[in-house]
Amino acid sequence: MKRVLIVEDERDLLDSLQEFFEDEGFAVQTANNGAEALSLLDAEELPQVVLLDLTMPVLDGNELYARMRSEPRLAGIPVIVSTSDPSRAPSGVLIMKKPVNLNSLLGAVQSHCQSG
Amino acid sequence: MLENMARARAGSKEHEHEARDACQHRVHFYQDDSILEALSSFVAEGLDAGERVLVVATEQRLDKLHAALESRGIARENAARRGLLCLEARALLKTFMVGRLPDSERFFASVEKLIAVPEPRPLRVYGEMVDILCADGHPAAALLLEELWTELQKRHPFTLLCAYDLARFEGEPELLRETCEAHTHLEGLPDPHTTVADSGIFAEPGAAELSALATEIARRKAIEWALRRALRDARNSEDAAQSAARQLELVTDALPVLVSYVDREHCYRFVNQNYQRWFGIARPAVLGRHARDVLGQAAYEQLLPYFEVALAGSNANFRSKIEYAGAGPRDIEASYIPHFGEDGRVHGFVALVADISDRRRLEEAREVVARRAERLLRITGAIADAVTPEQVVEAVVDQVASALQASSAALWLLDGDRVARLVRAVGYRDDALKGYDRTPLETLQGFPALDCIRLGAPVWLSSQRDLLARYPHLAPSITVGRNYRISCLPIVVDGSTLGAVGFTFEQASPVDEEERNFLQLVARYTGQALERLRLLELERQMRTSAEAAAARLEVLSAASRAFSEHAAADVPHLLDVVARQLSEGFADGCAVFLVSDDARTLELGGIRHRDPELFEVLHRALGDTPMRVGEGLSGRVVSTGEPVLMSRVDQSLLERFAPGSRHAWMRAVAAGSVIVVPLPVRGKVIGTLAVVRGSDSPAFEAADLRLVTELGERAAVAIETSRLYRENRVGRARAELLYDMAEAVIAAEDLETVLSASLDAIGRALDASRAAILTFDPEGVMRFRSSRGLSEVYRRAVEGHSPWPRDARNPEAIQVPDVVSEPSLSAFGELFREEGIRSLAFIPLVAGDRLIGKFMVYYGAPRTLSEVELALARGIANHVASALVRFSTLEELQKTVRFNEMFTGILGHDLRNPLGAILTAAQVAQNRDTEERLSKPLARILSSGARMAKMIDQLLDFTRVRVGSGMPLRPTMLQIGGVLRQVIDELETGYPTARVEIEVIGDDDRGSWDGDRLSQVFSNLVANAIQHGEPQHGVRVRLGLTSNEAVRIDVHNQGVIAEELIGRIFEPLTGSQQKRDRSQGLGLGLYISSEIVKAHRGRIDVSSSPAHGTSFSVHLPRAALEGTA
Repeated sequence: MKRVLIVEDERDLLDSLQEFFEDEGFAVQTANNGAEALSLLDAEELPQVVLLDLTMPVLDGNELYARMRSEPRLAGIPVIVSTSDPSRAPSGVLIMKKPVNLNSLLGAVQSHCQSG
Repeated sequence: MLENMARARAGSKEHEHEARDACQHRVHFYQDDSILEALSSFVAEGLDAGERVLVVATEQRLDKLHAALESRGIARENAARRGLLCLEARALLKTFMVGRLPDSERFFASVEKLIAVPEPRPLRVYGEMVDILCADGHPAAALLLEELWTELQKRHPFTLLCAYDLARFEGEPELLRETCEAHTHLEGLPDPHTTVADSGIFAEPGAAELSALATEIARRKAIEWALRRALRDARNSEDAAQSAARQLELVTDALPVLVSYVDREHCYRFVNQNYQRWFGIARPAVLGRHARDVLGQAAYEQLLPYFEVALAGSNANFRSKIEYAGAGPRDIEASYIPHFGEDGRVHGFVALVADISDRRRLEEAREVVARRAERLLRITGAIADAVTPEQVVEAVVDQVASALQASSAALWLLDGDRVARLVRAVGYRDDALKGYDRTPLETLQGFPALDCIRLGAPVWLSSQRDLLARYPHLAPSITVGRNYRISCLPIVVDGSTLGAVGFTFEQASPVDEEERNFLQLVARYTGQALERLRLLELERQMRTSAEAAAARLEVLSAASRAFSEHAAADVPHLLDVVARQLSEGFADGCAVFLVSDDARTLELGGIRHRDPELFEVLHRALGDTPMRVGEGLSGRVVSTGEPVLMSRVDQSLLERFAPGSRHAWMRAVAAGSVIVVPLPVRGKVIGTLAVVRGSDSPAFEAADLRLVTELGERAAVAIETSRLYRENRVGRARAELLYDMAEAVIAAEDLETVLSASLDAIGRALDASRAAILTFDPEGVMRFRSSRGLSEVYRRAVEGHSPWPRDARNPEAIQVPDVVSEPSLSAFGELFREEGIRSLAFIPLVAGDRLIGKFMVYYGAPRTLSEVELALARGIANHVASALVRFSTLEELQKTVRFNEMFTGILGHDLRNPLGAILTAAQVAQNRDTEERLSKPLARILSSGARMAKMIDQLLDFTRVRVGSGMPLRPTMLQIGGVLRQVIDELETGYPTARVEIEVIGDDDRGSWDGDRLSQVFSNLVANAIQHGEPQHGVRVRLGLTSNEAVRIDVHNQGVIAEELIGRIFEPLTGSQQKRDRSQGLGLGLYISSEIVKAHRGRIDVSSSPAHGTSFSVHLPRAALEGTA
């Protein structure tokens, strides 16, 4: 099963995304902030794609991305950034502007899973 | 025989002739004209030998001689040139013959000069004078002449040739013999053995007889020669003696003295002609007479002693006046010289007596002149030495009178009013000159001296009668019968008469020329002396005047120097300097007064006096009660602005000048003279300067007034300069203060620093140790922001109080010089007392023209701030107010920024997140909606949500741009054609009926842009074109890729934008007012599009017209800047 990690502090949004991806047959992990995401990424089984919100409390998206990049076992995980302000996103990463079109998002995630 | 005799004679004559070869004394006996040949040969030989030749012959002989010389080739002129001199024999003879004999003296006198010529050439002489003498029957004379020639030859060597006609010796053998013996060489004699024998002339006896005869002849010859010589000598002596005697007579007669020889018996043995002239006795009659008979008894007795001296063997030289009988009394100068004989005894004496009577008279006259000259010298010396006119007059009157033995003398001088004033008189009775001491020149009845002055000429009156004849009106005042003469001389200088001097001589002889000259000379010297003294006096006055002027100048320059040295001093010190300057050297005392600020009184500024006691007096008199302007001398000077000079302090004058004033001080310092001058500054009198001199000092003059006036002007300038300097210094200090404060305020980073600096400034500027700054709070209550020196109690008590209403416009500062006397503050009286506040001032803080607060200053004593201080306070207040405004504005700005940040944050995150959640949930629902029952409502949710998301995005962008954060970009390399197509595809989905055509020109559509942002732009432009364009015409989109630097996108639709909108089309919120119905946005789309394009360094243009429709053109450089615009 394809695994995806969704990091988003907006609860409703997070739930909708989880439902959507589960509907599409993904195994979905969720985190409310970057710190939670990191602890999930400690697990042995890693997601195939990380869907990342930028503005989050505790540890924001940019910081999480930086840590993932600095850890060899996490550095290869594709990341898709979902943000209302693309200018704040780190470079070299796929950005989807909020409000995100779910079909587009699905397409992007699927392609990363296939290539991952 | 004769020749032998001649030779013997020649030999015997050798000792006489001294073996001179040149001194031949030749004789030539001739018969008829044979002499001519001998003579011409004699002459020619001489001339040829280069000798001089003298020929003394008869006229006929001379003619014949010249003819003979001519025949020899010697012309007459040539002969003369060569040295031939011819003289007529008889004429020459006459020059020395005396009677029948030649006089030796005369001979030598006549002939020697012909011989003794200074010529180196030898001389030869031919003479036939001896022959003439013989011919005339004077053979002895001839022989004598021969002797004289011989004598002459001894003196001067020359060759002499005599010539005799032989016929003269017929029957005279003795004579012939003697003649031969007189010569050294014989010529022309016939042979005695033949011719003479035949003629019987020279019959020769027998040899023995001849020898005896020759011996006898020789003996007799010798005797005869001796006798002849003796006779000649005797005759010569006699002649000489006679000649000497005659010469003696001649010489002594020529002498202008008596010359005589007196023997031992006092008889005259020789007298010169003068005796006849003196005594009327013929010379011969005097000889042998006794001196008594000649001189007269009286004279003889006078001269006897001198006779005896001379006869005693001593020279007697004497002068005496002798009473001669016949000659009369004479002054003589005599010398008696004793004559010593060969026996040593005095045989007599030679008397030389000169009549020196004339000389004595001359001497006496010279003595008189010398005495007079000496007197004149003494008098002129006295006149020259005189240093005052009085001394001159005394010298003239007294000394001249004494020198001339005048009985009286007097001198008058003409004064400026043409009055003759008697300046000196000696020898007069006390009352004699009464009435003559001051006489106007025009007086009708004058007197000699007056006339003298009027006429400018001397008046000589030889007697009393003369005086009365000319001045009959003087009769009553003179003693008739006195014998005197009067001489009056004018004293004239440069043609003008200064006066006259008159002398009276009693019993005197008439004035002589010499005395006249003397008197006139004295008068002239007097005039010159008086003139000299006048000029000296003038010079002295000028020098004094110049010195005084120089002294004044020195005072002026010293004072000016002092003023400028002390220019930086404060006014009181400067005034003291002024007073001191003038009281040292120029005046005895000085005071300076300054007009008070209210221009009503005069206050004593500086005062000095040489005398410390008088200084005290003055200080008290003037310092106690200030004078009022207009009162007293100084007050009057201030009112009128005119200086006052009183060269003699006069109470009545003072009264006139300043009536009613006390002037006690002038009496106190015994003021002799006073000067008071104004101190003028720019046309205003700021005070006065008064100087005083005591009554024993020289009085002030007009020149002093000028000096003090000048000093007053300079002092006024100095005082004013000092004041201005002080003001300037104070002004500078204040300006520095304001500057410091401004600096502090500008540099301050917070308001507290500003307030603290302001309080410092206020304290320094206004000399206030207590101050406070208050502002209105938002409720409009005046609250303390910062304070110094005020208690908490006080602050709480007065907070909220404001002397101005809240909305006051341009309020003025308010001073309370004394809180005690301010009724409106009476409520705070207790508070002020406790706080120790006696006066205060409110200075408004105004921004624009609105009151925003106030600052306060507090003083413990009554105090009025000056205009300058108030101006300073206002300056400070301005700074404080502007600082307050600045900081409050800053605060507002900061608030705005925080608000914007907050807004951005809200928009950016807090709004969008729930929206995202809604839209995502709707998408999920749509995905799960298998029945399609909910698809439309879900579609509407999604569409509205998308619109809302877009609006939020636009607002966010708008806010960012407005706040100045800029439009964020993330450029990447992309192909713009793809972006454009995608946008068009999306829009066609949203607007199914819309027709959008795309035209691409060129191939290369690559560049570095922010794709999302450009999508935004294209979406906005095409959507606008679809919405606003005429549907039947559709939308045309052209992509221009031909340029390497930039790409161009044109979006065209048919339809027109209203003209009034075109200019503002890219401004925010423009469209929203216009087309609310079809527009689905906030009116920010074009604004944000243009900002995006600008951020890409591009530009967007619009053109719209009914004919061509509307076109939006976007120019984009292929390389956009990374980051924000």
